[in-house]
Amino acid sequence: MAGARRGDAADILHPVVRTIVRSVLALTIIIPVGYMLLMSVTPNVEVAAGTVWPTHFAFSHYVKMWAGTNLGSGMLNSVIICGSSSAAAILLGAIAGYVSSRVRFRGRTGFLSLLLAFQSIPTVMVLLPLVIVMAGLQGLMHIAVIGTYWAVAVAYLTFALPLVTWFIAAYVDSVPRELDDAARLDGASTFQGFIKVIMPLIVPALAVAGLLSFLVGWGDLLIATVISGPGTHTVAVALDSFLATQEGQVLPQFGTLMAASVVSAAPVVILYLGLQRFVVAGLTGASVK
Amino acid sequence: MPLPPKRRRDHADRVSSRTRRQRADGALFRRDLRPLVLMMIPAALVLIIIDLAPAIIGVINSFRLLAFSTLEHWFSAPWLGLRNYREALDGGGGLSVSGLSATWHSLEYSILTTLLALVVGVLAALSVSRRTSSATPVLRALYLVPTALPLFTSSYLWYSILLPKTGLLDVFRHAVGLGNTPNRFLVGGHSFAALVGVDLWLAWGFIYLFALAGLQSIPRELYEAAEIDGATRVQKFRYITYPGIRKLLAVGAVLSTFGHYNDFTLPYILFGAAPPTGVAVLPTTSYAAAYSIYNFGLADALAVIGVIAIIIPVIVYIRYVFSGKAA
Repeated sequence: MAGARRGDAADILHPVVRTIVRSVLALTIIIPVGYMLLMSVTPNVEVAAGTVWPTHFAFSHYVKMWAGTNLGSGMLNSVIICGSSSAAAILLGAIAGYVSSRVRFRGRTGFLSLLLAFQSIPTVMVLLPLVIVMAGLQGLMHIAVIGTYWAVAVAYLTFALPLVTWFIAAYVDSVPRELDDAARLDGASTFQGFIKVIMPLIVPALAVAGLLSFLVGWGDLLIATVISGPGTHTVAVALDSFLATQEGQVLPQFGTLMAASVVSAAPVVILYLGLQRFVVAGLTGASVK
Repeated sequence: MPLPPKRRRDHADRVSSRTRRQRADGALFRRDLRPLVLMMIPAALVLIIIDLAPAIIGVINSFRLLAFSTLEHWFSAPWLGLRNYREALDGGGGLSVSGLSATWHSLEYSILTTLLALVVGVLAALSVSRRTSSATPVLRALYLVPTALPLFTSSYLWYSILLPKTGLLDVFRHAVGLGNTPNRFLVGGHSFAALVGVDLWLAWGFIYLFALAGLQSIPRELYEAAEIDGATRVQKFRYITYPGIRKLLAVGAVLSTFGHYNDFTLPYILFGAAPPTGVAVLPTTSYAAAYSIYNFGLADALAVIGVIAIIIPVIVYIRYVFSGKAA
């Protein structure tokens, strides 16, 4: 019986070791996250004084924060911006990744490495040229660019698109070419074959790609600080400017800040957990080579 | 089979003139390349405009005097040759730390964090790779929480935990009698440990995902065969698990290293605009060069130095992993 149950990676860890690993990791996650939840309902006076267990729960933070911060508009802006940049990354990246996988052009490996290498370029370095390009467009076409939704979305696409393209190319490599040919023989055009045959097969990869590119924007503070305008401030900027107004105050509202952080984190945590299975499947698929 | 239209008949004729085998490795037919290339055009244009062009402009600007006053006419800004690079390297031009030291701290911190995250991430994946109790699915989700938290949220959280005197850490130390002196994680000697520790907390979940995905791709039969051969746990890991997850882990490790290396949010929130020297990493240093002393050319020179410093070890590493020598 022992033999039958010992045939997999889970048995590499001795049951005792496994329990220790699980407990230690769970505690290191539960304690800080629990502290965050606790602080979010601790009266501001007590957070400032370093109280760990509040005398009473100040659930009112979750009500007051909407008025005290730009959280509501920030979250809406972040959803619009990150949603559109990840939609664009998925669409363009799926096409570019598919083509890069199917066409064995000269310098293909170099091109794919270059896409990955883009992740090594610091945001600060790309930011100014982007601002320059955007300011140029602004002057040339007499339209507002900097401060608009799409300017911020495009800035995130700078990082999301190469990553998504590279990832989808790796995933499509594991989809047999015979499927492309079969679609073609059935009379589908290349593009139709891609949409109707390939796209449904790479859904897990698209989920990973979408999630990763959504997170690029949601967690970013730097790009949003420089490129977003008063009407398009993202949730990170809203929280950061709230924090800035609290520093040096007699009574900083850290409790309220934590409540706002919890709420701003909730959508991505839910998204992550909801897509969990897809993400693992997507990564597994990209590795089969 | 219905009578094919003309276009399809061409296609079929050509199919019949080749064997199936040739089709498989000869990839698509020459004529099929055109729609593929046409499809690629929009994506390629976007990549060129938003990625390649800004990167090239950045490199060009690193050789120029690009201050606030010359920004308007950036294309006619005066050339400086290598002066920005000299200043970046020796810390002149108003920088608080030299580029060499910032690069070194960035490399040290991002590589160390990734190595630790690899160990924790793989252990975590092994601990939940099969449902062994009803806790397994709960843990699988819980393990993702730190990585799923937005960077600014977790950075604030750790900032408030590490805050001297009033943060959770010092309150706890005081309560259990481990000393009353305020910790020096945010302001002094232990800031490097704080940066690595906090980043490890937020980053191992990413590696865990890659490891978990890698584990799913290993056929069970391999473990069963190893079991019959009487392999130990260590041998199973060494000869089955590790080779099976190696490539995927390498990709995760590279992405994770780049992520730490270029992360501005965490060091900025933990240590502010004037960080202790040990944690004055590249992103905050070049941000200061660009947006507090408005020397954009200098900031770009720092960034170019940074890219060169990280890309060389990464290329060596990738070649090593994918050449198969490491197996």
